Order: sequence, then structure tokens, then C-alpha cells
Amino acid sequence: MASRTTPSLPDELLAEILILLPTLADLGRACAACTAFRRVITDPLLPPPPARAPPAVPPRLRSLHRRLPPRGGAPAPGPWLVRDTRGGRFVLDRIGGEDDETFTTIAVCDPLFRRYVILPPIPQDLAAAVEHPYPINGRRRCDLFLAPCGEEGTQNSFRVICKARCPTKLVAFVFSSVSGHWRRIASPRWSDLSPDMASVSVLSALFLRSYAHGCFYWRLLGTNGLPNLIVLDTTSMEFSAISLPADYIISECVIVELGENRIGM
Amino acid sequence: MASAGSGDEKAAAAAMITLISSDNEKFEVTEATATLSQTIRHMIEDGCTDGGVPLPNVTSKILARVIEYCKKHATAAAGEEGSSSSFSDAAFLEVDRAFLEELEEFDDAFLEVDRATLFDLILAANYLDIKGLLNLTCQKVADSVKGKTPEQIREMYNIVNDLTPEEEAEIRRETQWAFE
Repeated sequence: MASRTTPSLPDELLAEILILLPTLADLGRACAACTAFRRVITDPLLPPPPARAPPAVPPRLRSLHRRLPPRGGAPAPGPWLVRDTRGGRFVLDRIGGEDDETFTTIAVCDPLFRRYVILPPIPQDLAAAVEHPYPINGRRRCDLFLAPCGEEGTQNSFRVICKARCPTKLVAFVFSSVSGHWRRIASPRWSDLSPDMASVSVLSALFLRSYAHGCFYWRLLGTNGLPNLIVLDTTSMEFSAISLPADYIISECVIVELGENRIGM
Repeated sequence: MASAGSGDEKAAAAAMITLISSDNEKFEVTEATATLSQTIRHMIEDGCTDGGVPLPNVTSKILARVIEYCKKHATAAAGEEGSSSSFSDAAFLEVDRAFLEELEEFDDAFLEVDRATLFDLILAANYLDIKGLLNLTCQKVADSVKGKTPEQIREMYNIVNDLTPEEEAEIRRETQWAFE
């Protein structure tokens, strides 16, 4: 019985297997193997395999992870909130119920493949750099977003950046799925970014995050005559500040990629 | 319900189930082991296991492997039930880590089979509705397909390429990005 092969599995079982492939490229290549694979992969009506999820954490996102990270008997955590999406992945967090609500429980989910991971907490010695952070989103005080992977990354890896805006400085950490660790990337004082900017008030919000050619950009509000654009270079992982002429900046703007590594606004 | 870890010999003896493979071989297993299969669990609940449970889709060779898996994992399930936590997932997580590692080693060794056996295990796990085993075996196949070209996948699983050259060219065009 040398030829008891994959096509002898019914489509529903083939789907159970193919949905476990880790990357879209794997699915793309499998598509070209035979008609059964192609039929299963391209069938928009094929339902996800039912009831295969372990007890749901986060509740709305089903997962096929075999091992969940350990959780203690923590107080009832708050609801999950989607903070950012990139390349089909979502980063979510929820307030854990501890006294210090600065740092939340962070999860990265891949809904297409029904997987997620809970990131380890930011180590305390790193977290100590965050002093009196301003709120960003209700009770949340850290900005969370996904960054494209650097050179070492594969299609399956990701980076999450956690950024806090403190009165005298900007603090940011990056989690790499390749290393599995958080590290502090930069914590420039505002005065390092611009000599005239000793501190920022709660009103000087960073918002309208955009990404182009390896850099994140934020509008910095409420700083008349001072820098109004903050840049994070994801290669060097350094912040810098740019002052655009005040009449150049309108309230709603995004930075976009143009050809040849140029950016547009 | 008698649990595998209860040590209550009488209860355990009373709760033996006979499984009969397609080639008529009989396997005596505890109820705790058998009920890892939702299919058998339902049969037990409906009281139709007297005289044995015929499993016409499963050969003795495969059934023996499936029972081996269920025995090991029934012990794990017993540990889970013994936990006092009210959260079932938390209970699962609090099971001794060493035991989890041992279980993982068992699973890895269990999967060291030829591809035909692996597919028979998938079919049996599906028929018997044993979620853990189905997950495990499907993951094993997915892992082996990961990173492979269509040609390698076909060769590995003796798949006949039944795509016409036109279809194949079209798929290749559509999925060019997957080959870069």
C-alpha cells in the first residue's frame, strides 16, 4: 500500500492539515501540488475546523496553539483591545487588574491561521525607565504597534513596539519574536530631540502614526515653533525630531512611500 | 465515573470497555482511556457498549497505537480533573510541568511512524473523534509540508500531479510570490 496518500484524506481533513501551515507562502506552494490541495485551499466556503481551540484566551480569537503560556490566578482582567494591525497580524492588550496599569498583557494574533501568542511582560529593570507616562487610550498609557521585521526576520516573525510618552522623555521597547525578548530601544529626553523642548505636557500628544521606508512618523501636537514630527527609525531604533514649517503641516496628514526611498506627505 | 488515577480497583474493573478492530481483534481498555474518544463516550452514554464496540474503520495495528496514545493522555486528563481550579484551562496549565514535558516527549516519539501510518492515525482520530490526537497528527503533516515545493510535497506523499499544465501554469502565476 505504497500509495496511501494525502488525496485519500477527505477534504475536511486536508483542510485541518493545510490550515496549520505557518505562512501564506506555504499555502501558495501547496496549492500547486494537486487539484485536491488547490480545491481545499482556494475554497472560500470551507469552514474553519470546529471546536479545535483550547479554552479561549483571548475569548474572541480561536487558537490552535498546543501550549498556552502559564497564567496565575490573576484578578479579573479587562477586555482585549486591538491596538494595531500589520500584515494580517493583530496586536491586542488588556489591563491585567494589577495596581500599576501602565503595562498591559500583550497578545499577537494571527487570525488567518488562528494562532496567537501572549508576549512575556516587559522586564522590570527595563520598565523602570517609564516615569509618569501620559495616558494614551483611556486607562492605557503605552502605545503598542507592530513593526515590520528587520533583516533577520522571516515571514513568520514579527516585532512589537511599546512606546510611552513621559513628561521629560520618550521611552520605547521592542519585542522580537526571533529573540523572544523585550529590549529597550531608546529613551531620549525631549531635550535631546530638540534643545528647546525640555518637557512636554499631556496636551502634546503624538498621534497619526504612519510608516514609510523603515521609519514610523508621528505628529507631535501643541508645540508651537518646536518640532512637530517625531520619527522612529526601525533600523537604528532611534528617535529623531523634525520641524516642518507650521503652515506646511495640516492637522490630518500621513507620510507615504514614494519611489526611490523618498517619502511624501 | 471511574478515573484512571483513583486506585479503586473495583470501580476500574467495572468500567472496562472492549474495542473490536476491523480485523476482529479485541482490546480491553478502561473507560477513562476509551472516553478520550468522543465517539465512544457517546456510545457509553447511550449504553450501547455491551458485547464490545466494533470499530470497522480501524485496523488492529492502528487501534493499538490509538489506545497507546489514549492511555497516556487519559492519565494527563485524570491529573487535570484532580486540580481544584475552576478554570479548565488554568487547571490544564497547572499540571506539573515535568509531566507536560514527558507527555510532549511521548507525543514526539509517538509520531515517529511512516507516512501511511500517520494518515491512518489521522483517519482513526477523526472517526473516533479524539481531538488531541487529530491535532497532533495533522500538525505533524503540516510541519512536513512547511517550506516544501509542490514537487517535494508530491514526492513525499506519493501525490499524483493531476493538474493540467495550463492549470499549473496559472497557479504558478497566481502564487509567484510564494516561490520567491
